Amino acid sequence: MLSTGAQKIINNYLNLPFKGLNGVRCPYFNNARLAQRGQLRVLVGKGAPADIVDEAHIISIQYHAGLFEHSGECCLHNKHTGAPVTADDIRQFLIDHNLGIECSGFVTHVLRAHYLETKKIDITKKLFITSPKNMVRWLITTFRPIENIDVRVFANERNSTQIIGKQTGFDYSKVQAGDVIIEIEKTKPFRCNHIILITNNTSGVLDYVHARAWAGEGKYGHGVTEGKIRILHPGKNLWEQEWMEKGLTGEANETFNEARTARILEIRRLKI
Amino acid sequence: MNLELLRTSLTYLLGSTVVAFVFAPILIAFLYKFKITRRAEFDITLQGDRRHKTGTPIMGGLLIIITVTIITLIFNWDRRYTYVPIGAMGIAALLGAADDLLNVFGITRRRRTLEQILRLRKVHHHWYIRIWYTFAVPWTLMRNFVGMFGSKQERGIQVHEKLLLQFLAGAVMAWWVYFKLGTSWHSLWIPFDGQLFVGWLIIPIIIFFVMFTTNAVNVADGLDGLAGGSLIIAFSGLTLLSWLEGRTAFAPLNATVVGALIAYTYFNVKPARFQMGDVGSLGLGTLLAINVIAINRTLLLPIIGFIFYIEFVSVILQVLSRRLFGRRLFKMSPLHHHFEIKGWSEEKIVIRFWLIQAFMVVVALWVAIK
Repeated sequence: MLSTGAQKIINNYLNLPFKGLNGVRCPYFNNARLAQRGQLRVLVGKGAPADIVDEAHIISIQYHAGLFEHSGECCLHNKHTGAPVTADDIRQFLIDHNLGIECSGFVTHVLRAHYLETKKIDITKKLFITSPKNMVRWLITTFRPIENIDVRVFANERNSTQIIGKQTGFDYSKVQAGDVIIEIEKTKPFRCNHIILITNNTSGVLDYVHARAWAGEGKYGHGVTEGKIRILHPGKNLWEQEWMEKGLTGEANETFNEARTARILEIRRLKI
Repeated sequence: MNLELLRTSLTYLLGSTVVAFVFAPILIAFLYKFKITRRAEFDITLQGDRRHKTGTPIMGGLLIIITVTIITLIFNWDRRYTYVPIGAMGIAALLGAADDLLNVFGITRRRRTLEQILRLRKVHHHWYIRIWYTFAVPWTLMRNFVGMFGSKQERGIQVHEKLLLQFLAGAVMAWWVYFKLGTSWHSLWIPFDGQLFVGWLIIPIIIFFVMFTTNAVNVADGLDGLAGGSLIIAFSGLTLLSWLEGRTAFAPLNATVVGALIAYTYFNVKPARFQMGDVGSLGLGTLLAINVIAINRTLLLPIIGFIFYIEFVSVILQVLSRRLFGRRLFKMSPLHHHFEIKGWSEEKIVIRFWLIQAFMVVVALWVAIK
């Protein structure tokens, strides 16, 4: 099981801690397209839930969106239009202002909380991101580790070991909460690397949670989502198993479709 | 006590107040006529409860700049002491005016990236354009470097261009202090500790303080009445200090600025009839720095312009925090916006900042006299 701190972070992403409003699931945002450099962490898809809430509050006041009180409370009715404010309105506002989380940022925050609580270790200071030989890059990553931890950092042999994969075999009983599914080198139309956090492994079912955007969900449907992988074929690769998310399996499940295109699809565990 | 100097200074103060009050309606009509106003299409913050600021004239600072220049030219023109402060203020005000006008009427400026410049330097079919692009490389590098610390502007004068012109104004000032005012200005006044001889190092020190103060006043001009009221307090303190030290040219000059500022702030308190604009904030920021430096109290600037310095330092810290750590230090910068986000009303912020400024000016006087 993940620690209570990590579980709390996951719950906060699934239900952002806005004062006076429940049910705002954190949207997905990846900075790859905008390519903003040196921006606030929260504006490049790497913010913690509290950061996202604070930023939404500030942007709402700055641009007079009328969604929040100065105290941070969500308004029951929009200050300017008078229309009731719902969780969907807030989600739309977050997406329109590029507020959200991307897959590796999400996993970093959850695992950071997990290892801080269980082993008193801050993984952002332990993970190898880049070599000091590249001085400038190394300095940047020292100041801003969370922004520079991506899927490849988690997949790096210096940071994690393979649990499920071609080298180690496919014994799914070894998988634990806190392990991650790595998807690297995908083919079109899925180009981004992806990482999924496993939250539980009970009787042949891997529970997972990740930040993702399905094309089928349109502009406002994406975000942090939970799912399951039912191990129907022990000893076989992950794409031979049944992936279920939002009640969808097989071809209808875009997470599964995406995973199938990855040249490297494996489960890894941090060396901490 | 030189009561005659005090009376002269008060006369200048009263005179410039009257002149500015007479001139203000004419200026407001002029600004409205030529539509030199804030426009919602260029300013995304003019929404919601700020919508009423749409259409408010900018460049209200002209009221102060013109009043001070005219009165000083006619009644207080001193080849040794007042022509350089007025000249430097004029350079900075011109820069600000150009920025204000370009912000209202200018077209969106094209920004070539460094890669484009480097490529054009090689492939352009005119040799003289290739030479031009060669010279443009360091300029673009500077623009990129400055751009890392500020927001990208699409209109008006760019930050790196402003910095260069402010540097020139500071350099003129430093030249004047170092070569014209005498050797006593080659020493830096140290509070409680007399003088420290710094020689030519006074030149970069002056340039730094002029540029810093100019931008600080510019940054503080964000709420109705904030910059105007704070400048009244700062220049009043400076008038008092100049009078106490018997500076016969500077006491009337500072008093003239106070008088013009009184009329300006009368029209600038919420809801403002006009706003200072860069023409006023850059010009007055430069003049504040110069007038403190000219009475050889350079290190008093952070105290006598406390609110401006705090506002500007908050911007610098916020940018550093954002770039280095990816986090906000304040909810927003400059500092007055931080308190706005926290729910303080505009009036509350402005009046509290005035009070703090007044307190710090008293501290400055106490330090200076001691």
